[in-house]
Amino acid sequence: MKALIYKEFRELLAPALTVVLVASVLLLVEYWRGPLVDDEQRVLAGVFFMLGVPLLGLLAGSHTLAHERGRGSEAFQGSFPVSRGAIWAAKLCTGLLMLAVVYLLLYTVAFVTEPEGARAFSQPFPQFGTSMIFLHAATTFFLFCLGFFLSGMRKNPFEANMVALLAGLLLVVLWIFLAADVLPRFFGPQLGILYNTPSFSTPAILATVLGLGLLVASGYGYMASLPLAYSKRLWRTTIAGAILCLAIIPAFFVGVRYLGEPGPEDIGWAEPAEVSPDGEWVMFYDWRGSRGTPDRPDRLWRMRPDGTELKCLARQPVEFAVWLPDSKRVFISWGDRDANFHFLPRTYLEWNWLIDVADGKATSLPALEYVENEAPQFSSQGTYMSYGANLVRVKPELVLLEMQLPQKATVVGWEEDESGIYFSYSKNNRLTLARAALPSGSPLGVAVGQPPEEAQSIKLSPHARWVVWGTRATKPATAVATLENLGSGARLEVAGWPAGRAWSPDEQYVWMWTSGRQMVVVDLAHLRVVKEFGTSDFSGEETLRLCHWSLDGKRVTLATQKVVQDKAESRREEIVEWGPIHLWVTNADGSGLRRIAEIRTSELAFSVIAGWTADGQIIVTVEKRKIISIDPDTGAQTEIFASTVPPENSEAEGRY
Amino acid sequence: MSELAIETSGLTRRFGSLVAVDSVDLQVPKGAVYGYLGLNGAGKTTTIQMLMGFIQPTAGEMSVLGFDPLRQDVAMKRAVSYVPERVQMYDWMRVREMLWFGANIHPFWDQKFAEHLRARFELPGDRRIGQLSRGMQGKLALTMALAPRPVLVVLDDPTAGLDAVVRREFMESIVGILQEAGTTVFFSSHIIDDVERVADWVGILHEGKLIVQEPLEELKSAVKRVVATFPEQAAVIEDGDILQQEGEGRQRAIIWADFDDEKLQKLQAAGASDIKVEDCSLEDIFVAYVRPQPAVAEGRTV
Repeated sequence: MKALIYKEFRELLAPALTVVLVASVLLLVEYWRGPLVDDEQRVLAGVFFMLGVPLLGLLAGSHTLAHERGRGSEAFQGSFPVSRGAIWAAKLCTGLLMLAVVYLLLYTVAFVTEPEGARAFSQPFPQFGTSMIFLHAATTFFLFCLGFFLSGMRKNPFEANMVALLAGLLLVVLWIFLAADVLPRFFGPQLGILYNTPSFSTPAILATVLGLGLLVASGYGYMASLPLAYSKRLWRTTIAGAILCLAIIPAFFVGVRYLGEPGPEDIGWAEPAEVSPDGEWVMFYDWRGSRGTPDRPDRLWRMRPDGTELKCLARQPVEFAVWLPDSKRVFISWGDRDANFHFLPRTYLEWNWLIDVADGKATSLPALEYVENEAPQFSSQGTYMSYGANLVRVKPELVLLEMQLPQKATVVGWEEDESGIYFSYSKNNRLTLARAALPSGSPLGVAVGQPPEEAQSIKLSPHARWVVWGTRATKPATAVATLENLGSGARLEVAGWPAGRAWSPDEQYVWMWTSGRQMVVVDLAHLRVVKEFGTSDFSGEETLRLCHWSLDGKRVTLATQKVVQDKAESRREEIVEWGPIHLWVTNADGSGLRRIAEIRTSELAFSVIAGWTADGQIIVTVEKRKIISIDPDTGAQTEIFASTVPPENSEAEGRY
Repeated sequence: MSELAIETSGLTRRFGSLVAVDSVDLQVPKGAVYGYLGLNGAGKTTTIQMLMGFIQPTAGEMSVLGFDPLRQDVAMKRAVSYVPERVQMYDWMRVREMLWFGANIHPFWDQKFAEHLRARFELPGDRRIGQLSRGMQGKLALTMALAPRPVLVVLDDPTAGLDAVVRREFMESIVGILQEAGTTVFFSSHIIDDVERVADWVGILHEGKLIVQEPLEELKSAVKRVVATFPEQAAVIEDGDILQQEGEGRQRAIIWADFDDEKLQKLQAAGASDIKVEDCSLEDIFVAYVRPQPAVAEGRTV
């Protein structure tokens, strides 16, 4: 066996070393001298690598036996007292071992020369990670074995290679379908291939037919032209056929277009900015035209509150982008139902990712069923996420918790120490607030302080100390907002429907705006209303009010805006007039109200006000074109970002 | 214990409608140098490939040194060395590397004997096999076959592709070495001189059938060339042992298997005179066996 392995090793050494040397030299040259090819060519190189290497693995497996037969040394080898099984085992094991060594060396060089070198392997495929590397290697190994045994079944070396080639071509097609369509359904799109070909089937079929036709014609044409001793030259046919396959596949099948690393000069509309919970980052979307076209994907950006460190975090049409409580990661979710974008699956799933804000690296979460217009909520330390009726453990294993919540249950909050989850559900027409332990999901019973039968819209404070709900009475038509302490059961009732609320970071105060166009400030420590605002306290007829707490909990920003809605013509309420947004600042207890800015816009206030930064500035988006920072003391405005690219269809929409 | 190194019974191999080997009953005695003669395409290589267990017979049984080649091929090859036709070794290996390869793959490899053979054949140890001449490659193959000191050596047309001088040298080398070792040799060839020079047993395969199998000297003593003159137009002699007869007019030349006095009297009774009985070369015998009977002038039969 030693002699057989030595012989196989020596025969494979030269081609394996050639592959490693060529790739290593390219990577090292790139590492020292910069990119050798442009980004689009790099994508094609990556696709070639992804598709070509498994196919070459298949050919190598086939050639291991076919070459022995082709050159006529099989009979000589068979003259020794070793079984055919031993000969095949030596070939197969040595081949697989060499393949593993090639992979190991290539990836070692690639990762040692990171980041430049690794780009050749990672850049074309978003979130191309360890799992993809192993999958790719496993595919190559499998195809090597398949080629080997296919070849072993044919005595004629030419037939063996042709059979392997045809099988290889079909397998590459299968691989594409697997990588693009099947695998993402189970493992998420990090195992998929980037596409922008809207219709995959037609070019795939055409390419398959064309490729097979050319392959068979050229192969058998070549064979017919050979003299009797053709066998020694058959490897040329093999190689020619392989190149033919590989040349066709990237061009016809994949149609990848690398969009390049986006820069600030590309940003069209800047969608609403949002400040991270720690006030250290600002994130916003941009888009330049209608959603979902491959050339103009929506993107997600982040920057510091002073406008520096601008970086693109995601280049997908994002449904939601939500800060995690640690401010280090952003949850994004995207679906392809309205995108016709680069992933083929047409399932109504949301692809979910956690993106590291610092370096932009993405980690996949399980794909979840589409939940319309519902953003996820995170527990206080970001360990768990609720998303509709799905509960996901975010770290460390990224496991979907199979917690059986009652049907149509809504997660309303978390225990502060993440030991339990609160959710509300309706049972026998009665809204119930319940609790379950985490991560087991075992029920902890009905929460203290049950809302009355007619209660609706139950909400929990961030630290799970308070619960608020609304009740309506029809005769007379009144609404009451009730605050209850979950520990003591102490209650406070306030007139009006609890339309919105903002808890101070220490939960000493809550600001609630009610349906009566009133805003009340409740001192939770003493459970009393300390301030009420009415229309007369503001500039006039503002109908919309929002408030944001500063991070130190000492001040509040109030945004008011007059919005005129009309539902006369279309039953749905249409906004017919956006008034200017007035920005106010008060103390935590509502005292010291003063107006610091007027922002003229055609947007609603909640699309404009981003929040407070760590250094006490207020971030505001203006007309989707500018992001400004406002000093709450002086009202001075500083522009931290401005788009210079007119959106493609901005004139048609009349917004630019 | 059988005195036969190779024994087959009704050995048959079909490839589709083609019968490559047709009910061959081989009997190769131990210690013999058995020449397996046949035209190109007669089925010699197919027979050998079946004997070495590379292909399966369609019908029949076979035994090589008491082993079943299909089920006991590994055990068999420990005692049997085989050199395929136009042997192709690994061109990239050096001669000494190839001997190392053999030593590490064959349990009975005799390295001293291998070195002795290498020196005798003047094979350069550091030369790559691809750089050796065909003759040298043949000698290296023979070295690889003999170094394990086999009981039986099977050579498939070992001189194919060699020029006359190298062929003669090669065959004499085989004979010399194998006579020293007392090894049984079974070799196929279509070159009759080679067989006649070294073989002591001959088998002639024609169109898949084994038509002759006997010791060479017995064959040569049994088959005679008879030239006779008849008083008038020569009659066509009818006898099952006549392999070939040709001639025009009154004279006729006949190659006759198992020629004896009874057949001589039959000729004389037919009026033949001036009868000459000559020994045949193996080539004459082979041609007589495998060439179709040429037409003879029509006339009376005897």
